[in-house]
Amino acid sequence: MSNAAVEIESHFFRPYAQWIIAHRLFVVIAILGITGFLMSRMGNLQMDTNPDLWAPQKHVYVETTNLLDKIFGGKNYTVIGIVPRQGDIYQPQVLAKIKRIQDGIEQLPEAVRHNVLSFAARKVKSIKGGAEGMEVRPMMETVPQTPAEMEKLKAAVASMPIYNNALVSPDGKAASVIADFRQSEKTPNYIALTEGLRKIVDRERDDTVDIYLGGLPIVGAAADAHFMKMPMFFGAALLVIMLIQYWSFRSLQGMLLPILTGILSVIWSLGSMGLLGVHLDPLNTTTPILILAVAAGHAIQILKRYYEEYGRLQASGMNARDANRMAVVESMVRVGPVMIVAGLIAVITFFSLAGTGIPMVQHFGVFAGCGVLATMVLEMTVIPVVRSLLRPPKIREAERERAAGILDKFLLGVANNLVGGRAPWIVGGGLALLALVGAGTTFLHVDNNFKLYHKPMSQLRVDDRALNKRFGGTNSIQFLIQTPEQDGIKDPKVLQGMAKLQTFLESQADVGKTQSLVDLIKRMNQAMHADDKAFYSVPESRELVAQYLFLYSTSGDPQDFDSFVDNDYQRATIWAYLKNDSTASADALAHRAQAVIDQSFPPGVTVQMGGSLPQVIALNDVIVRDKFRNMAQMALVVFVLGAIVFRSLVGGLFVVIPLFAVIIANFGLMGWLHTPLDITAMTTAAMAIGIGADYEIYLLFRFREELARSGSVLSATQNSLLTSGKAILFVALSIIGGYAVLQVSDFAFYNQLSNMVTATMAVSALFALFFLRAIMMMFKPRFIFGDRPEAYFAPAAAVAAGAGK
Amino acid sequence: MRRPVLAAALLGVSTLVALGPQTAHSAELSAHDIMEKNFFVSKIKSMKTESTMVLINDKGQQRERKNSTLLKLQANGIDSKLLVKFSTPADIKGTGFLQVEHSDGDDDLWIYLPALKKSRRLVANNKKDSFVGTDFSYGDISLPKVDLYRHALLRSEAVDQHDSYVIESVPINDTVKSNSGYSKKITWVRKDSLLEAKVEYYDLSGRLLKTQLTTDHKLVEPNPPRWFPLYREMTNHQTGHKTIIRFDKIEPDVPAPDEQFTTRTIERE
Repeated sequence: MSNAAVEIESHFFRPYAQWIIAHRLFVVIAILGITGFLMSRMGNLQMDTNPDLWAPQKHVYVETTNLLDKIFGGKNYTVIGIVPRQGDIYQPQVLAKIKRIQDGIEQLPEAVRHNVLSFAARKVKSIKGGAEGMEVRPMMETVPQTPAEMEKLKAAVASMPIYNNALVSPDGKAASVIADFRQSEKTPNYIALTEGLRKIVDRERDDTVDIYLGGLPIVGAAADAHFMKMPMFFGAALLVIMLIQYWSFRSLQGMLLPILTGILSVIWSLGSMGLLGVHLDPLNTTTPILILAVAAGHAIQILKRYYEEYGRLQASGMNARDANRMAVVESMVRVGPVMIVAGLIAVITFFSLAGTGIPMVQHFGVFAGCGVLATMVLEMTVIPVVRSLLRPPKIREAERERAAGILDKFLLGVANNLVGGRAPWIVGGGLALLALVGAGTTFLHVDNNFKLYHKPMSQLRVDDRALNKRFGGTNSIQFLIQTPEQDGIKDPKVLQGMAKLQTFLESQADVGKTQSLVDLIKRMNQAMHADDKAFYSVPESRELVAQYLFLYSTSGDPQDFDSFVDNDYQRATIWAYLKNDSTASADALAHRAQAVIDQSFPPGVTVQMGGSLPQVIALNDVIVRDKFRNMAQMALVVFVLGAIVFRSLVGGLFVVIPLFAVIIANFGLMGWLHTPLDITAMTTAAMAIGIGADYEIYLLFRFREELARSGSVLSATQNSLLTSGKAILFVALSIIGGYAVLQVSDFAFYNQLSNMVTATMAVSALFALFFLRAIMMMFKPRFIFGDRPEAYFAPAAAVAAGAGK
Repeated sequence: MRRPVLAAALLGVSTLVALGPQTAHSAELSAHDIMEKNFFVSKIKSMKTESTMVLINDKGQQRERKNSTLLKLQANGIDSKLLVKFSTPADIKGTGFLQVEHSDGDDDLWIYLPALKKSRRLVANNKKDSFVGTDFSYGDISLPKVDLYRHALLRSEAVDQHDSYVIESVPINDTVKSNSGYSKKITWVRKDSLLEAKVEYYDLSGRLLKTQLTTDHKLVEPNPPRWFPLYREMTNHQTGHKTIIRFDKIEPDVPAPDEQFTTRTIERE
């Protein structure tokens, strides 16, 4: 151990530990007071279910989407597909269902009534031509009862291409009700909204029709319903972690103390979030499990060391009471500095996520950072105080804790092989494995489609497929056309540009439907020319466009066009619906569309893109860009801190190398398993770096300490693996076990998060335990072995070789 | 179809059909009587107006249209003729309407679009349709026959510091209800002018749909007294959209020969 470290240990941690034990009553009261205060702040915590939290708010696509929503609404569009099992929709009982659903939704307090659209909506009108001009009438004021009335409706529907593939399927065998809803921006209550919707829809379900639901509120409600189950999963995780602790310590005391620090850490971090005004959100519903496991992990390191010291002191003849206190001090002295360094790395790593552009990831960074910070404070106070207050472990309890189990035998075998000349094989094997797993990165793809967070056979995905099959598509790209002046949209050149863009979009394989004001203006022009199809085109003068619109308004409503154009006719939108939810193809489509945009619009007119798919593309962009930048930043931080702690650049490298290996392995596994690189990967990468670094630091410190004490590589390797190494395995198991309970969830998002955490923690632990140890044996760095490494190796290799046989 | 009346009322022009002297202070008036007086009190023989329509959407964005009108009572003393010309915005400048009311049948309505340089006859509209893209429906401004509703005097109360009768009007049957689009109306009729100061309109499911406010009531004919509001405002509570009609200039008792009310006139730029 370096002189500086020894100095810190003896000059700070020993007096500190002694002071804590001497003032334990005060410390207990202080902790209880802080806990009580922070618990009271937990009441300020708000659950933020706003879908915008997923979106990088500064990305141009997201800014455009927000602007589009502000001008035209439509963020909470919900589609209800009504599909008769026999025949088409032109049956009185089917149309009556549509009308009842329309009326029912209009009664919902959240409904934007003038944006509830179906044949039965007042806003949905037919434009009909005649000798004198156009007649504008609601499409279906009453449900047709006679064949003649039905034919009239069919003709009206057929005459309005804008509704084909949107309110009715091209084959006439499915109809839809599309509704927009008002929701609180910060805390939309999609569950309540969806319940209201389902009540209306369920009344209409019978053996004559199938009804499907889609749209953001439906996706949001399904996700929120899963998030609501989190307390149950947290309870299960607690139980699993307790079992792992019991396996580790084989005593109730050993089991409960880490859990106590874990629970307190969660309370402290939640309270701090309440105090800071940071909201809880869906991604962060799982973070308490992480904090619980990390806290338990550090507690394991300290307590394992405590049992070691206790055993050693008792063996030296000290009485149980003194040995207890002395062991508490010694464990704090030995593990405290390492824990502080390791904890700080994790804290900095997590807090660095606050610099990303995605609010949900920022929240995760703050939450996890506060959690680890709370953990450090609590481990340094609660563990020594409570452990010194408890009675000393009984002889049997201490023996049980020390008893060699399967893990010990395994780790001993590993130590012997490492020292016995098999290090190159382990390095080679590790590299080969890393290369194999890493090859998976070639299959890695980025996608953040929220629908994929639900299982393929979930109701949500089943309904989504049904709606996609029958209508234009459930994924949208929206183009915002902005002109420099009021009424600019009425300029035929602008309208023709929009028409060209729509024609291009509709020629693309993925695009099922486009809609804009142009469709309506073309139809008006046709109607004013006695319904002659040759006049389904944009009129040639701005005045004519304006006067058609005025003519329409003599029987239309003020907000008939508000989904397509703003009040000033300065900005308009084109809605494009896609059946394919792949962001890669949407991105390619956007690039092709840009070429058409560049050629089609007059100077001064701008066209921007937003909508559901561009939002996901934005998230993908930011995740890829920020992830690599963030990982580079975190790696640099870890390297610098590692180099400072070990006073060696090579030491810094040793801490940082496993992180790269873990990241490569992570991405590789994601590639092989076809798991897309998404928002969860961003958070698990931070976990890999923050927690992976812990493992290496604990092991290196312990190895150096054992080497200094024994002078033997074999002994140092064996002891470091059997103590810190074993503790690392339990930490990794605790985190994996905690997150493993999410596998029970039928929410694919949680399953994926669990998979990622499992892979990350397993790879981190295995690399720290085996691969890096082997590298250390091979390269014998000076910051560990000093200038004469042979002195430690010569006798050890022979012994290990013998032991390994 | 009574569209000319509706437009006339909206645009501030009304026809006189004398009901006898108006007594705003009669204590014995029934709800029906009050509504009947209200029906006739804004009917003016002839009038020219210049007005501004302000359309305000739910986001507070505004658009303005200016127009001038000429109205004349027809020979039968019931129906009227109305001519409307829009002057702004520029792209609808010169657009004209001609409405000829026929109380015994469908009204005639022509529109002239300068860009097409031709008048066109408009197909008949419903009472519940929006009037030229405003929040007023044709039925809101062309007051329906009083007998089509059952009226009940609820109470008296002040609106804008003017004592008013508060009268609830319910359609007499489902046809009237369906045609108007309202299940109920509540009208605040000012006791001094007998003009409506406020009207609440309830949709078919009984929810408040719109509220109309009128202010600046002006006596334009003294005997019998005929009143005219210089400001009308209609708010749709369900869409958040609002329309204001402000009369910048009114000129009652103007010459209005029948030759003025032809398609040739509206085609004149």
